[in-house]
Amino acid sequence: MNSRERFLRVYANLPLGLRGEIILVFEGQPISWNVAYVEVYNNTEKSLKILEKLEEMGII
Amino acid sequence: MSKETISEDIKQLVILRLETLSSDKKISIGSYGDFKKEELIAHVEKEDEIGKKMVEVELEFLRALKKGIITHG
Amino acid sequence: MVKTYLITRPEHDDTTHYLSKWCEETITLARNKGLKVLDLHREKAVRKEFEERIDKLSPNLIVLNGHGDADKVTGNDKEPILVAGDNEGLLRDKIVYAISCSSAKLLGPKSIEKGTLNYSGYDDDFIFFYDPNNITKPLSDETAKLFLEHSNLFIESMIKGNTIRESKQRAENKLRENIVNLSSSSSTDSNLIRFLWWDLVHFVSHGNQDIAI
Repeated sequence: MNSRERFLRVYANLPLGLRGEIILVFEGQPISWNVAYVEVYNNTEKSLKILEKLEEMGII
Repeated sequence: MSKETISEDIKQLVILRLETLSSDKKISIGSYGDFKKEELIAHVEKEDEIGKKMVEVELEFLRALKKGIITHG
Repeated sequence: MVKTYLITRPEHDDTTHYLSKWCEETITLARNKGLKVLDLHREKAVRKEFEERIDKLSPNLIVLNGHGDADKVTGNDKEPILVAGDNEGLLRDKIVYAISCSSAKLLGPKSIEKGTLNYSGYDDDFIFFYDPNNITKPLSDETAKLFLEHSNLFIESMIKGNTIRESKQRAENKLRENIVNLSSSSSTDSNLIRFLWWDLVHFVSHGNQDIAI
């Protein structure tokens, strides 16, 4: 399973109430699970860096 | 954990997450005492024992989420 | 034979004040169940009183409230009352629960080596949130309740004669229930989930799990 797939799987199992929580500081900005999801789902260039950081921190 | 420095990314993440705590509550952290949110954030900034404990708490939870701890029990 | 319940309840700061008040209902339950209760409250929560009561009255269940460390539990004014390598032998043949930071990390296993039947507690800092507006009425504090009610459940289950295993399961289920409920709640307390998770993960038990008092 690659990091995108792992992220989507983790996200799918997150209760709705937790999806607004901040999980990363990206380019100086706080981003939540929801914001990360939009980038990852759309396979944006930023999503690659987001996934890399989340993986580094052991979150996915 | 006590001798390692905290990466700037993780430190900022923990601070931002702590910022979302309610300002009218206090936290009792066993051996360390009672704190307000702002005091906790200051400890994280300083990277002292209490600050590192907060980082540990946050990361332990975030890492546990990938195992589906809430929906799977 | 009448069972005996010993509890230490220092009350010298916010933390011990909350722990002490929340544990009061376990004392009431114990008395209602016909247990003899040894309540070492405030200035009585000191080593001398603790050791003497154990020595003379041999309690079956001991609950320790207070601050602590991996190798000790403290009482009034943070004076040590139980220290690994020193007096943990007092706990021989007893069931112990310490609502005290980290003592289950070292003191717990050491006491099991010295014959304690079971030592339950936390192997890292015990964390709880509270509303300072409720400091004069801790039992009305719905935030503190999220963190402390599982502990009362654990004690009460043991007092009712359930095994450690059953009691711990009930306590853990309560913590999990609070986590799940908060995760779908719009309450400001919903961002306390990670601290509840921390306490759940660090709530441990050493020794025989299938005994009861």
